[in-house]
Amino acid sequence: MTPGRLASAAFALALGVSAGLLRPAPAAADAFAIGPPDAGWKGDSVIHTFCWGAGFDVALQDNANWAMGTSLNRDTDIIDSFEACNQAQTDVEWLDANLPVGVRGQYSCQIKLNADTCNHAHVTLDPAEINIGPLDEEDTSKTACHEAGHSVGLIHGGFTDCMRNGEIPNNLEVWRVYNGHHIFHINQAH
Amino acid sequence: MNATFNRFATAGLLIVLAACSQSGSSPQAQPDDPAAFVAFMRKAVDYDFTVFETPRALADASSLVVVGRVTDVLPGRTIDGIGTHATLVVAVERVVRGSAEQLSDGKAYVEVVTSAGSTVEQYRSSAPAGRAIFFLDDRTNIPANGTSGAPDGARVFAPIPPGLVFEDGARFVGGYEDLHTMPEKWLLPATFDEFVRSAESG
Repeated sequence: MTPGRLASAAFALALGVSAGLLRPAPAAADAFAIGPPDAGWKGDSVIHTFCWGAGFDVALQDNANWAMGTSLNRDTDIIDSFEACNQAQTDVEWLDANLPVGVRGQYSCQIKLNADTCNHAHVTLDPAEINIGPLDEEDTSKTACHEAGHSVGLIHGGFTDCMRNGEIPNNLEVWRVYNGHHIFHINQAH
Repeated sequence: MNATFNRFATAGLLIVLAACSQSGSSPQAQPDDPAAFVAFMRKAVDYDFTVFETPRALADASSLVVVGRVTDVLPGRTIDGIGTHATLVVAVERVVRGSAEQLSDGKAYVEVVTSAGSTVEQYRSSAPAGRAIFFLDDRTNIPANGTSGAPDGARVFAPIPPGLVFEDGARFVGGYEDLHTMPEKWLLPATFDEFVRSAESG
């Protein structure tokens, strides 16, 4: 190769490298299960273990059980399994706390397995923020379902199931479970 | 080697260096683009939150609303049931709601949750240079372990989702939440300044 061709090749390579680095990520019609931040953290297997964290309010356990046992176990391929908390591997540790104003629930991955899979997550509920309007019991189960949904890869979007934000409009069960679209993606990812 | 070779090789090297710089390998300067910081926020935590129909309604529920810039990120407190935090040091340019007396030497100290996907260092290295509007809840008296990194007597705040919104070129972008999931009035403003005005006057 002549020096001129070598230089041209180097220039073309540089252009290619820079184009690759500068190109925006392609838009996805449905970003589920490609990992955060474009999708949530998914669970590490179809068996989704959970436990009560230190001091978890007994009054909230039925709502957490609804999310794990009904929203996930009954309606999706996920198999829920209660265990004593093992902070190295229990998939979801349920907690309660005084969250900032307006925050009803929080999901955060504490130990990740890889870029899109979480090994151990905290789910926190704040009944004082949830129990503002009517339908407190159903609203609490809705938020439990919502945060459990984040633990299997769901992000916000859509307004027809528990993954909507905020208060439920009525006591229909649709607000405490996942819609068909979300169930499809949960099953596909696990 | 001839002059043509030198020119092409130099141009190629400059392009690669420019690309590397834009991909985040330069830790000294704060990026203009808030995208990386926003990505770390969304990796850190997912909330279920009360939906406010307008930015003004969220401002009404806030202890303090300010426009400012993140100038540093410090290790923060640990709160039982919530977890570990980073403290954003925000140089306040304007108080939209509340009082300047809630600031400490012109700064607001804002704690954000850290987790497996978002560390103090990741927040620090990606903190954008541009402006943001912060809708804040005063969390000073919440029982916590460790220090927020704020000076003695400074108040400690937390953002109320989706109320952390960054200037993004001619537009604006939500921090914790993609604002396209919010009621339509959140997206009516065309610019960051218009968004701030909507928080102020509805």
